[in-house]
Amino acid sequence: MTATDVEHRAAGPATVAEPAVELRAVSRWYGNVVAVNDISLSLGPGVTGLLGPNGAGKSTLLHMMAGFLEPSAGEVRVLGASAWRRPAMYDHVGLVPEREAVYSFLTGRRFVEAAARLHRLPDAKAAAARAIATVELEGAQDRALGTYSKGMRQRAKVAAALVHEPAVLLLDEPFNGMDPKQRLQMVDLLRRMGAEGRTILFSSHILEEVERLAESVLVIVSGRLAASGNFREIRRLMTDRPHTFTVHSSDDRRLAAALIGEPSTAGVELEHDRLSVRTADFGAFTRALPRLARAAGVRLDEVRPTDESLESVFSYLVRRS
Amino acid sequence: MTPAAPPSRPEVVTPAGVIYDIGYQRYDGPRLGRGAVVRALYGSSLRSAFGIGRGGRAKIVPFGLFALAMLPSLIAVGVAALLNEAVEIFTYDNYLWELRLVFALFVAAQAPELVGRDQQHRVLTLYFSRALERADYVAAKVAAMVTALFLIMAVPLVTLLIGTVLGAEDVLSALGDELRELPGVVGNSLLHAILLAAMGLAVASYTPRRAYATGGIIALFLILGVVAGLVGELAEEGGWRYVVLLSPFALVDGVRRWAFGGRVAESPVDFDLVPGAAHLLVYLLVVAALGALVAWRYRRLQA
Amino acid sequence: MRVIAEITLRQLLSRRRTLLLVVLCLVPVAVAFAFRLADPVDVDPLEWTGGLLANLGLGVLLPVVALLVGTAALGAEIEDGTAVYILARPIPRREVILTKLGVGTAITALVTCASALAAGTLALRGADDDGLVLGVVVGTAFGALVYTAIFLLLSLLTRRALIYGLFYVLIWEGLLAGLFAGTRVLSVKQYALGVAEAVADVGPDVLEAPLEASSAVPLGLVVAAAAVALAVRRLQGFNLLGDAAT
Repeated sequence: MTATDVEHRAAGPATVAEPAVELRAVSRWYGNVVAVNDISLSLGPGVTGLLGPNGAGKSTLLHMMAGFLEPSAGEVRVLGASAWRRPAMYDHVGLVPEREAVYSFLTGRRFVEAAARLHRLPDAKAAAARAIATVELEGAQDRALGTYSKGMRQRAKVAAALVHEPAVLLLDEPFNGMDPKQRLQMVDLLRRMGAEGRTILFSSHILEEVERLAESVLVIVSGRLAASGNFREIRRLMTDRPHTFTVHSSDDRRLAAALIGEPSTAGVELEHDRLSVRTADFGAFTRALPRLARAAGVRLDEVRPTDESLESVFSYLVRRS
Repeated sequence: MTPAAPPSRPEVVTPAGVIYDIGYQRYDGPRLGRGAVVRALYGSSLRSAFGIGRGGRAKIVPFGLFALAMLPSLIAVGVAALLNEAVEIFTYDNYLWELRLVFALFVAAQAPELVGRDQQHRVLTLYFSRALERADYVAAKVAAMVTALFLIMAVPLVTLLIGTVLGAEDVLSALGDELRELPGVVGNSLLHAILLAAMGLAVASYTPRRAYATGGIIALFLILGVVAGLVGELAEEGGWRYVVLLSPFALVDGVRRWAFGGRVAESPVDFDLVPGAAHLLVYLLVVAALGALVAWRYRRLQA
Repeated sequence: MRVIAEITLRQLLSRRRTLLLVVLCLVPVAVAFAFRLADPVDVDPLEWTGGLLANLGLGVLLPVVALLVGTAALGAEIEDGTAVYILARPIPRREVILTKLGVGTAITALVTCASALAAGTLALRGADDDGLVLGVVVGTAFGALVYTAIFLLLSLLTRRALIYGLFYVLIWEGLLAGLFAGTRVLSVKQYALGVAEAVADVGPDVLEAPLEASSAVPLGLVVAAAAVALAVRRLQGFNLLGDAAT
């Protein structure tokens, strides 16, 4: 497998010459079971989604990046050095684990403050207050964690992970147990942190979340990297699969008649108020469509790819491997 | 498959809801019933008492202890075979007493495996929603624990017996002699197994945390044993002398001697101080009380 | 590190574990009380109390309490996954281990020494002229350190630390020590007894310690230091997903 670069928009400051997280031909096996199979990738600033079905190796990959699992082969580098046996790395790395257990006897405030103290922050109290405000947990900060709901606990974990403002934040299934409103808040928060130039990687098996939040994705299937990059881009690269567009125009029927004569069109379907077009050649079709519309005297109101949802991309990748 | 609409309205082509026939079938054949459920639970519990059906690591402790329990009898048999000479360190009478720590460890490690897991993972409700009464569950678990303990005690003793016969000069007369010991060997193992299982399960059934259960069981055995020894020294008359019955292994050793005769092991059993019948009485009371404790727990437990 | 110490303390003293520890510690006191009640004429109080403190306190209570505390000091967090909140921090692993060891030893020693002090004082009617109780308390504290270090290491090596710890205490120190005298050189119980006998001013048949303090103390310290060093090494490259993933 060749090294794949995940490009991000240029918002993040280029602080390190090396990518923040880099995997070089990394494999991890447990006995006879291969959990991660020869993966090379690098991550830069911005939000990246780690996507894969349950048991694909997402947690294994994240644990290796977090320095809690030794790769069986290859090297995991975080911020310029190997992640294994390097506690100093946590000065700039935050981890939100998937497991729910927390110190149920501590209050939210004490929990985040403890994290700040363990990072030897000069003003632990202020840092903790800032982190708690970031996840909007002020209202519950003096209650014991044991009384928290799942979503609140999740936010407390996130606050503890970002109290030292890490350059790299790794989150294992951060949306588990959150209600839709909390999900939105978390999406906002992560997006904001990504825009600040931090490298953020979160795993999820729910496509909708990844689609809404991540600029780029890593798709893991059976321990192998099946795809990486901008997911629309990934979708476009899969040329052997027909694309479908939904078109709104001033006269759908006339446009349909014009399109069916175009070689790049594989099929046209007319439903009450919309036109859906299948094409086998993405590039040729997108060039032909405006030309044909102009020639037929039809105004195009909207052209939208219908199956660009991550779900369809994902199921395609999963099926293929 | 449901008919979509009454035939009088054929224009309804696509009904709002459809149940598809995906091949589910009702089971109409005979069912095995409670007895079979209990036997199946007994079988799987007995296997798990030895870590069979679990991963390799789960087998280390039970089989390690089994090997430790076998070791003296194997050595005795080996010595008898090689040197043609009987070694009299371990006998039918003191074998279980000398290795009592091994058996205490076995029950401390494995009783929580039998009953703790189901509570920890909250699967009791799955059991009780079947043709299985709560009492059946308890009976199967107790029977499995008793059987497992019986095996780890009786197998070394029977090995010792076989070895003694084979090592003898006159095999046939030795066979006759040793076979007379067999009821005592089997009965003694069973007496031990019942008491140990009752103690282990009485503690283990009260906590889903297996670490606590293991610690509790072993503490119970050790503390009762040492306390009985210490207080037993205090007085040879008066009520204090009955304190010796606190020691589980001394208690059951007393019952053994009362029932099958034989020499006293190193245990502090002394029929001149505490009569054999008292051992039996206390043994029965303790087993009944512990059994009631387990039954009580499962009657109350929210499945 | 104070934060780790606080968290460890609160976690170790959960309601159920505290209750268990208190009940365990009251047992020798209850036995001593029985001794006072029985008031036997033909039993030497000093020898009997030595047996009580050595066999029940030092021989049973100390290893059991050290096991419950030592395997949980870090093991409980590893088991439920909260260890990540301490380990995903730029804290030297040596500091984590030493803090856990310190808190674990303190709780074990406090509980067992208090029990020995109360039971011994009660049995001897407050007359500890020969320093027996003092000796056992010092020996118990020393044993608490060595045991806790061993069991802390064990909890990093296996998820079933408790049962393997019991193997060590019961089979190695109990069963085998009776058969092979050589095992006593690697027996924490004998180290603790050796220290106790050296501090106390009693005859050799009261505590029956086979090891001299001059060998017990260095041996115990070497064992504890080795356990700590191994535990630090183990934690430096610690697979937090654990064996659950295999």
